[in-house]
Amino acid sequence: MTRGRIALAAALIAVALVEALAITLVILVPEKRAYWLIAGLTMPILWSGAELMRRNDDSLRLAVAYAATIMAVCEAFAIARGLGVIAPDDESFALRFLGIACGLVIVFYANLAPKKAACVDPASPDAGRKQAMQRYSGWVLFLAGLANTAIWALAPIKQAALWSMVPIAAALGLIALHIVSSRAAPGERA
Amino acid sequence: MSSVFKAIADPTRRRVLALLRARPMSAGELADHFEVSKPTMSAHFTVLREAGLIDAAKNGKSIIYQLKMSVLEEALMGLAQTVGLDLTGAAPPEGKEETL
Repeated sequence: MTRGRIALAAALIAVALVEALAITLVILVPEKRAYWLIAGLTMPILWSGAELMRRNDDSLRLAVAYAATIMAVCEAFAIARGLGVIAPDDESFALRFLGIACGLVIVFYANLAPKKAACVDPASPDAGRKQAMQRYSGWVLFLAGLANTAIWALAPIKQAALWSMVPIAAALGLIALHIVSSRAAPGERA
Repeated sequence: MSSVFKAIADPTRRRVLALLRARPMSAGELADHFEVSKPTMSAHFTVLREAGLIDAAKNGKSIIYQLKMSVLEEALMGLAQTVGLDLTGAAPPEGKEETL
């Protein structure tokens, strides 16, 4: 069993648990529209996840597993709020969680970027420059993702959304600068 | 993951990876930097390729290797370099001579 298949199976179990809880609540408290919505939204995730398990695309399975997990946790938060486990006006915890999850997505894909993007023709004259560019982008986005995650985890929630954008914007700016400078002096970089 | 650890545990293989940071190189170019036999170098390349740290592409008669490391793998290699991790007892390709 591949890594993607295991991750997707685990995510689908979490989604199925949320779906079972939502359906139970729909039966018990049919007047609450939120439970209907959660039960209805979760069904296509389960169906598409099950469909994806049969296909031969592990990287897609990993990405969908991550997305399904985030959705399952968000829906679990919504149910917990509906049941009064989380105060109805307290959105900070869910917001913080989502911010951290998004930061970790950046870290995950930035980590793999230099490896997955290593499809430069190694015989081409500027292969060294392209490879250096890929490595630089991966590192900068990886560190920016870590900073983004740390801000969402530690900063005051009211400022976190704004502050968390700073490392990402800085990373994109640095990458753009690096592209411009490496094109200006291709010989020096290769 | 253990194949990655095995690959970066050896200083020769770490040096190969460090050389490939600059640009993709042919097997011959890389071998010129080391005083080891070609079969030994070839075995080192195989270990690195099996660990998914380098990619090989044929260009005419020569094979060109290029780096294929994730950020964490590079960081791990940097750490191994810094602390001087040397597990050569376990790492060299089996049954191969180390010098000419």
